[in-house]
Amino acid sequence: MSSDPTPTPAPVHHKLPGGGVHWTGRGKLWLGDDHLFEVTTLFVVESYRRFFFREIKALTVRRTKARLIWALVLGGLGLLFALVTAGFAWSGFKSSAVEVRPLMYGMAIIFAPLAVLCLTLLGFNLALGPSCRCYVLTATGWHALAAPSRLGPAVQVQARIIPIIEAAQGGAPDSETAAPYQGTS
Amino acid sequence: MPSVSSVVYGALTCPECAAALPSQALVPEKDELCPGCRVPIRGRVFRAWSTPEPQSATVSDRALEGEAVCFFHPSNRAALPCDSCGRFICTVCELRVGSRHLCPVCLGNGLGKQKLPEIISKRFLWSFAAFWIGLMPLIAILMLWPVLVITGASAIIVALIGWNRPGSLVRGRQHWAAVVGILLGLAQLGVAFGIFSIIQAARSR
Repeated sequence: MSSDPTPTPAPVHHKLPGGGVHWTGRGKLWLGDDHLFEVTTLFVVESYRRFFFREIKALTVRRTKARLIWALVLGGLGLLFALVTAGFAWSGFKSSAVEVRPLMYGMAIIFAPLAVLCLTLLGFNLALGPSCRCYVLTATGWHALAAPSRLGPAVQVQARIIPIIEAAQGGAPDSETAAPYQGTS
Repeated sequence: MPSVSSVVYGALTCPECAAALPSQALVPEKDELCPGCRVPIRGRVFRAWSTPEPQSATVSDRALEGEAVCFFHPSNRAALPCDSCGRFICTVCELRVGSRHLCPVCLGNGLGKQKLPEIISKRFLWSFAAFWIGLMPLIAILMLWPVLVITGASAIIVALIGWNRPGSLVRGRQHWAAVVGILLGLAQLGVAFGIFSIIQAARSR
């Protein structure tokens, strides 16, 4: 009998909807056979965290203001670049000096793509829906997940994994078992 | 990412402000306001919340005559076989890794050589290292052209070193990134030698 452990085949994971970007990297959730698998990629390093279904005490999705903040930043920048573009274009159009016109139009051509980029990203940000942060409660406390960061995918993930977690823990909590976690505020 | 707050047993708390959540606050279908931070929150509490933590076994049953015994503790009754090597182990030796039960030797070997995918917490993606080393200098080509010789060769070497190394746990080796890294590395070498040739030709005139 060998003392080496048998090399196990790589576990199969299924991708869950949604992603998230944080300073720690790009996050993604995967569904393992007995655990929730969080993968955070920062350029060339992948970090992993596993939350085993039988150890998950609670899941929460908490709304954040990230969408609003990004909308204000991108909208503000987009508007600023659009105004600068319009200003240069108008100056070029109105300028009587022929040698100034190419400079004005050139500046307008430089700023126009920046305005389009910011406004496109703003459109994507708004289209993705409300922002949120997902948390998993285990015996060691609450853990913020790197993904999903939007409410739509977060709800889809919840709908998919709640029955799996309940099945792993032998069913949904009844009113008797629910009593200890009910707050007193 | 680290855990953001400690658990207050007896009451479920908000993960951000640690305020106790009201009764039946966590419903997956509907948002409720956290009484502390007034932020909408939804979710689900599971049976594990109210189930006491299983205590790790420190004492094992003594084996009776004729019973299977633990490989490591001949006086203890065997509780189950190791899922890796098959040796009988008692509850003291049983180490749970994911859904598998391992003996201490197998876990130790798995930790040392990272054979157990369940315990890997970080991976270096060699293919993407080649990809980025190949791509980044090309972006800053005008300032960095002499460095292209080093980075171009590095991209190719890293791609070859990492070709058979383990890749991402979920996406596999992703050889495409290594191939692109090699091509970008060759492109860097080509550009560097091209610029060098142009400079030499200009000097010789």
